[in-house]
Amino acid sequence: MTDHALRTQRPNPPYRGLPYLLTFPSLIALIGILYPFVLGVYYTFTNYTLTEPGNIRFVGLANYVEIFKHIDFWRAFGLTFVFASSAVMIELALGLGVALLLKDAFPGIRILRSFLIIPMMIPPIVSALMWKVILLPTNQGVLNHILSFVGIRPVAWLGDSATALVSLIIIDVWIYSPFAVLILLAGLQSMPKEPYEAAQVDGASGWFMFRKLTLPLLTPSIVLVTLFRLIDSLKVFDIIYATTKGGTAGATTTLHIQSYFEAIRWFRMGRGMVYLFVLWFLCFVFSKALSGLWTKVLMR
Amino acid sequence: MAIGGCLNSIVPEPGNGGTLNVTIMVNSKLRRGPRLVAAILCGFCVLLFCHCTKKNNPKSVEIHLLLNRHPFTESILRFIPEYERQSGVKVSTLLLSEEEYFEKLITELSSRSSFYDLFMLGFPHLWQYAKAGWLEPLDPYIKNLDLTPTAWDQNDFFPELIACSRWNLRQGAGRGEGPLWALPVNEEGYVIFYRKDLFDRFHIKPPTTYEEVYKAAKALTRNVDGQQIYGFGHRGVRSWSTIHPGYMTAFASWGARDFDESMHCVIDSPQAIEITDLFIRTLREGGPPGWPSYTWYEGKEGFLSGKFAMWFDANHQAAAFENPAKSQVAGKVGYLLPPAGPDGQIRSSTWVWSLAMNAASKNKEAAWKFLAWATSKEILQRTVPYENINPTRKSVWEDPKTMQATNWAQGEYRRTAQLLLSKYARIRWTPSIYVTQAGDRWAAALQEIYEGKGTAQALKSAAADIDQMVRK
Repeated sequence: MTDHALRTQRPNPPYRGLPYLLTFPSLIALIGILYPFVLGVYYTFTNYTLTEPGNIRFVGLANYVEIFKHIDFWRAFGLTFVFASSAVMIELALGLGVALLLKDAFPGIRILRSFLIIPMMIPPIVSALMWKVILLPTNQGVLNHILSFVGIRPVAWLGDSATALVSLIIIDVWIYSPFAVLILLAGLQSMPKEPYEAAQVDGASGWFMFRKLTLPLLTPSIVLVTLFRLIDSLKVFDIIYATTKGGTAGATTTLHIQSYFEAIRWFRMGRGMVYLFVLWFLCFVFSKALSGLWTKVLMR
Repeated sequence: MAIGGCLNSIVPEPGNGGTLNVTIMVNSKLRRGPRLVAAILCGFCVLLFCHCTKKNNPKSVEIHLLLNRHPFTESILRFIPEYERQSGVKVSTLLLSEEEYFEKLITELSSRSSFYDLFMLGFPHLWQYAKAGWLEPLDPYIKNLDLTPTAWDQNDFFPELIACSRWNLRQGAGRGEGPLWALPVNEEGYVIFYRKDLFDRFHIKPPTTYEEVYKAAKALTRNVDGQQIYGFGHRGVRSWSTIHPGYMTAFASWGARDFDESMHCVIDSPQAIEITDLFIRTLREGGPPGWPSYTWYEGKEGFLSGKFAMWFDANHQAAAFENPAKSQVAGKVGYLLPPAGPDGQIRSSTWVWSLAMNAASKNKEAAWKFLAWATSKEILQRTVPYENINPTRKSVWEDPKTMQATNWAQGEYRRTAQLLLSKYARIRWTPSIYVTQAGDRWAAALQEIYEGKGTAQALKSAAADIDQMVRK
């Protein structure tokens, strides 16, 4: 084929606007995400009250100063941390244990793995309501009813400040541990066999292999689980809202719950947005740090 | 640009004809893409246009109702098809549970959406939304004889319930004055439901003071025939609705108030501390464990299943308690007026569910006609068999069918309800737009006290926070 023939057969140049057209939906999505975010940040500097939409005044840092001065904010901040870190640690430990048990094939393993993901398939709000019935404070509650057989008096699981947060962590662990199991199981199954064979030849113990081989090789999966679960746990709302609504005596009022009270129940959008902005900042810092760590361990 | 660059990069060097053909094919496929997108967009626009034209057609009037799940709404929904046939107006409804309902409502109203023409509310919302300019005053519609038949009769409503729906928009005063912002469809007064069988069995006199409630609650918190009974129940979640029923009744009867004349929060007054201390002590020593997790729903279920000896809440729950199909305590329930305070006065709280009109509605006449129909004597009477109790109209309350349906405990229910409606029940909150936020904070203080914090300290701290909310 000659050069001339090629030139005549060359197609028309691609439609010039095509790249723009193809990226347009993403641009719209980006604006759809950024616009409310920027507006929300702007509201943190205003006195915006839902019942007075025509009277939005710029108040500078007044909302931040007032909220940071109040002990309720720091309590919510601390509770958010305690809840998220405790839930993630337990989910990781439990997830790793179950994943190690399910690593090797045995009869019924497929059914067991299918059952394992049931909690994740139930909407969290439904799980929370189910748990609320289980944890009812009198003997009407399933757990208290069972405990009564061994002579334990009814415990106000969700209605006592000493046990409310622990109960919520248990609910979170029940719902999301399967997620940790699935990721860690995938990590375990994709590990190379050679290092283990070499270690066995050298007479290494199981514990030694776990510490020196399994854990280091599994680090990317562990970081991945921590990344997803930590961000989700920091933002948790549905489980708390459906069970304690932030009670008892503020024992489960996390940043997200407090922002809901401020913005939706008390109409103080400006203040509510401050709580959400702090929460976003926390999530941003942690996700940045953990995704950086993940990249680092992958490159190792 | 990146995609364009990518496409160019697969164009082959001259001489590689096969790859070139592939490139031509890819390009022609991609060029079909924009046309497809354009076709979809055009189709969407045509559909949107058709939809808008349909909506603007004056012949097809449609009104939209946003409703809270409640015996009133569940009963009125049965009659709406009948209304549609009579009037030719299409009525669309969205029914949500209470928390979701108010979240949806505030979102709709604050964005000045005209979509929902009518919705339900209680007095705290009435004060908030009226002040924000979201409610349509109803007096002009009532006075317009072309829109409202004389038989509709505003004077038939209990005067106190109409007073609950009027406000002149002045913070701290003006209840019962100014425009009528809503029409009442359901009323609840607060009584102490008590288990007559347990009181008789343990020779305890039904209480007439709050000290007696405390003593009875302690005495009745015991194991009865292998079942643990708790003496006294009340709502306890961190919400203004925890303050509103029994606690507010006790609080007001003790002579305490939420705000003074200058809208300064006084929930830490000596009277307030005294009655709060007694009330929470009653719950701690004579109530169920985990009181702060109780909503009215769980409390009602507790009383239905025989767990409580006393339950201080809305009197219309009697319909469920007296229904043998639902209740283990049917026929064993007594109804006590709330106890009097130290001065011998009963100052009971009350709640009214009302229907209001969106000020931004584009179908106000049609919406009013529906509202007048839904609050007519006939329709309110027809909602009674479906547990829409208590009626807000005198004629419905005195109707023989209602009398028969509510003649529980040998007339004790009706006697107490009648006394509450005519004599004792009032809204005890000071009119303001701060009821929900002040109440939520106040309820948090009650939980703190229950958890062991000093009553004076907890109330003082809550009062300071509420003052700060009001000053904003």
